[in-house]
Amino acid sequence: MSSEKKPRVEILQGTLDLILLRALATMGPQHAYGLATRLEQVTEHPLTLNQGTLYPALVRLEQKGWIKGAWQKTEHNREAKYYGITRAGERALEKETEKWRRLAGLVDKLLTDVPN
Amino acid sequence: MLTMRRWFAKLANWFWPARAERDLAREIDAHVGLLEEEYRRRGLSGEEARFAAKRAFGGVEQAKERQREERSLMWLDEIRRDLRYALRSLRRTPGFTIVAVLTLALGIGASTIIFSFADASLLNPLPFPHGDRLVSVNEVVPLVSNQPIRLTAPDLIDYEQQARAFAALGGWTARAFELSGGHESEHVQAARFTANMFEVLQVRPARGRVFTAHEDQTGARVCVISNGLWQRWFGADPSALGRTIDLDRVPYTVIGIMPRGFEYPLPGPSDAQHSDIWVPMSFTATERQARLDNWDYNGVARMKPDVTVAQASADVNAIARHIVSDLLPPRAAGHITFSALVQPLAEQVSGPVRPLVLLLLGAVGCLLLIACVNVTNLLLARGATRERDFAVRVALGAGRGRLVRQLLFESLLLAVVSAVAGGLLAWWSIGAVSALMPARFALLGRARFDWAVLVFVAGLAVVTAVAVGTAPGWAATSRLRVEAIKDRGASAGSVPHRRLRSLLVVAEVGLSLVLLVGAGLLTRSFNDLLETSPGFEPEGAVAASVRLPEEAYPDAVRERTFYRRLHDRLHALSHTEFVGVGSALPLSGRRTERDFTADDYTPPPMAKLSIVGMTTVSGEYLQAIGAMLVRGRYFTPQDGEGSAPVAIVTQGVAHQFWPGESPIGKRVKWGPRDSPLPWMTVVGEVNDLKQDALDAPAAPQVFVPADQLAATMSPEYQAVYIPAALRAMFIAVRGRGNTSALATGLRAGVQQIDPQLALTDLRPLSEVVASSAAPNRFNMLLMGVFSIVALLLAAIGVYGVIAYSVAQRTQEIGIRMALGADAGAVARMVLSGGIRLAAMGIGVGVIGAALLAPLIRSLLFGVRPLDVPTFAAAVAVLLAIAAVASYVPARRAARVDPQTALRSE
Repeated sequence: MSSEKKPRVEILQGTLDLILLRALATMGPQHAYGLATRLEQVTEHPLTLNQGTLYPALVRLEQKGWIKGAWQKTEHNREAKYYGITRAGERALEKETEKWRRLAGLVDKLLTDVPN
Repeated sequence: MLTMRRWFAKLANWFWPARAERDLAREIDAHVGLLEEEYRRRGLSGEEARFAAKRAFGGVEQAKERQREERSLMWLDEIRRDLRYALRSLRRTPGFTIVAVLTLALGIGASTIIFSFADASLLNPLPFPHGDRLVSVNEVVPLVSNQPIRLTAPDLIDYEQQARAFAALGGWTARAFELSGGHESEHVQAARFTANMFEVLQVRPARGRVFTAHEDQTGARVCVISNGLWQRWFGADPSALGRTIDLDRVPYTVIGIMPRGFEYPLPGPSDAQHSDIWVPMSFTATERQARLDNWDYNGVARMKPDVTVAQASADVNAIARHIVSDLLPPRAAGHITFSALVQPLAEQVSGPVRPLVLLLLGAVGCLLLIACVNVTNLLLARGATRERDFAVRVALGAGRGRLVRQLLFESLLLAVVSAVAGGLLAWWSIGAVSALMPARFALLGRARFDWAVLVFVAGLAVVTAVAVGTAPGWAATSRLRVEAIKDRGASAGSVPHRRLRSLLVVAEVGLSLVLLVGAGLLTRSFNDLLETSPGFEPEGAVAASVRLPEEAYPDAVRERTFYRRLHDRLHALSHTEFVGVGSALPLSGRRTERDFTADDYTPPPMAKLSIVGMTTVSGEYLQAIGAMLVRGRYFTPQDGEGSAPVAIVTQGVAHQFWPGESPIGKRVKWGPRDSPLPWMTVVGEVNDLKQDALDAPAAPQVFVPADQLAATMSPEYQAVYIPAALRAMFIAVRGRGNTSALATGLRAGVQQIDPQLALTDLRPLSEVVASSAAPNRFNMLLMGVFSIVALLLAAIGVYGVIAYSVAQRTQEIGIRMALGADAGAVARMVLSGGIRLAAMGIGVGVIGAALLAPLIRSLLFGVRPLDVPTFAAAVAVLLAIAAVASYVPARRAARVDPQTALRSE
């Protein structure tokens, strides 16, 4: 439980979808485990949530038509469901990224601005 | 924000979860497998790797559950669970469920029926596009009548040509035809339409076309027929278009067939309010010139979209002022004045039934409220017995919201089942009730179970569910706060709860009293109405209406010959006593009013013109209809063309002009004192005759021999003073033996003289009287049914509360009895509890009824709204019912065995 010592980076509601889309867009099709590993690498500590928490996000994205899952073999010849980003997903990623940047910029500005 | 796509995906996953479930399980298995492999690669042993993998993954079931929530519509599942639970709990108590459903179904069913009436009459009386822009155009001519009257032909033509506020203005007038040609002839109701009328109503024929303005002006013999007539006369043969039918023995070409359900005039109080054939108005030259006669033409117009009624009225009145100032014939100029009256057509159409429909809406609203109160009470009682059950469930972790939701689901389920039952009840009975509808309420007969009604039922279900579910839900949670679990069982009567139930019973009794008073007032009215004298003797006489077609009877001579031959023929029959022909039949609603002068009568200064009803008679019409002579004599055959003019007046006339004196020998005349018409001598006085309806006051009337009137008037005056509708006359026959023989004789007599002539409304005078009371009977019956149901529900309510409190207080009663109270005292205590509740309700109800009763004044006859006997009787009935309803539980209380009661603890 060493991770509890470090400040936890809570994944904001809604940003998980963006992160997953981004990961799929840059890395190509991934299975849930692969995505979880990737998240841990990025955040530099084990996922603050359990790996099982990816599943609601995955099914949400799939129902929106932004990603698509298909069963394939892993390199070690195990079966796994690989998710790939769709065209609609790419468009959504672009839009969501833009939105996120604007929001982040705004928050940043609010936090750094010194009121006079 | 759910996209459509996600909705479908979720819905599909909810209905068919199996595949997604399998997929999910497989995916998670694979995931955990991969994790395990990874840990093993890092050097953990098999067991450790499996454990680490599980820890990294987290709870498999939670992950699945959260994925399911995301994937599917889980709240639907919860609803399904709650519904199933509610269903189960309602099934466990079938007695409660049946009573509750029956009660609510009655309330909802009755409300639905009445709503369908309101829909057909008040909400949606005009089945035409943009009916709210339709207006009627009438005139107020103080000389002729206090009431608005219709238009004369020249006025209608002027309005039609000059008014600018309307997209179209048209006129129509009812007329009857003898329909023949290829079939046995029949009497049909028709309407003369100006060509504009179809544009005003914005209706198109289902087949063929309607007539053009050109056809209207040139008097083309064309007609448009109703779907009904097309079916009946032509067997729905499409080749009917272009064929001819004979109307009053003149051939007309059928050019159009109206769609099924089209009717204009709309159904209304009189028989003339129906039409199967529409012919061009084609005003005759005489009609066009009669500026001050024949106010027989209904003006109807469609306002332009941005025009208000006030603007339209100003527009038409400008034309009316121009007519009054410039266009009246010289002899009337300066004497007569009038103004135009523009009213929304919907108001005019629904006006006659408005008070009744409002009364019924109020009554049925009360009934529904009572039903809801009753079911609320039942639910509260039920909730009380389940108190511990709920407390236990809360203790086990069920959310309070969850419990309330379950209660609400129960009431929703009850309401929906009841709404379905009530809807079915309404669906079956709307037709039946409509069929019972007296002619005066014909508009209500159009009520149908349509989409609007269905939506209403659905709305009622929701409202009812909330109404009956809120209080029990609130009571359940508030009780939980008092930690009922600590109580030992018999807690149910927590004080606020018991007070709520008592309050509901008080309300229920109060509402029932209001309904009961309403029904009582209408019943008293009806009884008074039956006892009121119509002013004539209806037994032993029959009457019928006949119209001599102008083609076959073009002049007065031929008409008179017909009636004289008919008179002689009927008189020859052995059982006939009196035969006569008159221009108005009592209670037929038909009358003609004219201004009138009495010789030695000086009107008070500033008085209006004296207007009385003018009825022309021939033969022994007054004797035949049973008018009762007060003094003087009836007309005799000697009162003919050559002899001195005579008149017979009603008591009302005598009282108005010669109070306290005998009218016999007085001189009277039609028109103003200086009119060139002859003075007539009054030779008889008869009882007041009710012309319009039993519950309407008798209008003053003067009877004159038809032959004398015609002989003493120049044609110009005849046009003004002889009723325009004189072609339609009533034949009355009085005789010995039964009325069906008289009717057969009358029909045969007419047939022998003119085989083609149609007789209408042939019926005994007693039936004329009965049908005049029919609207009142209908009001009374409907209110009676409502109040009986209300009483029944109130009785159940009182019984429920008292019986319940006895059951709850069994121990207390046991103790009282053990301490020496005798059975009688216990019974009295319970009984007085019930009566006290009822008394409070009665107090509230009396106040409510006293406030509401004046609103139904227009439906009452002979009874004041605050009729003390009616109120007293209603109070007595409710007290008696409360006593009976409490007596049963009181007896049960008296029989409590102290030992058993105490032991049951």
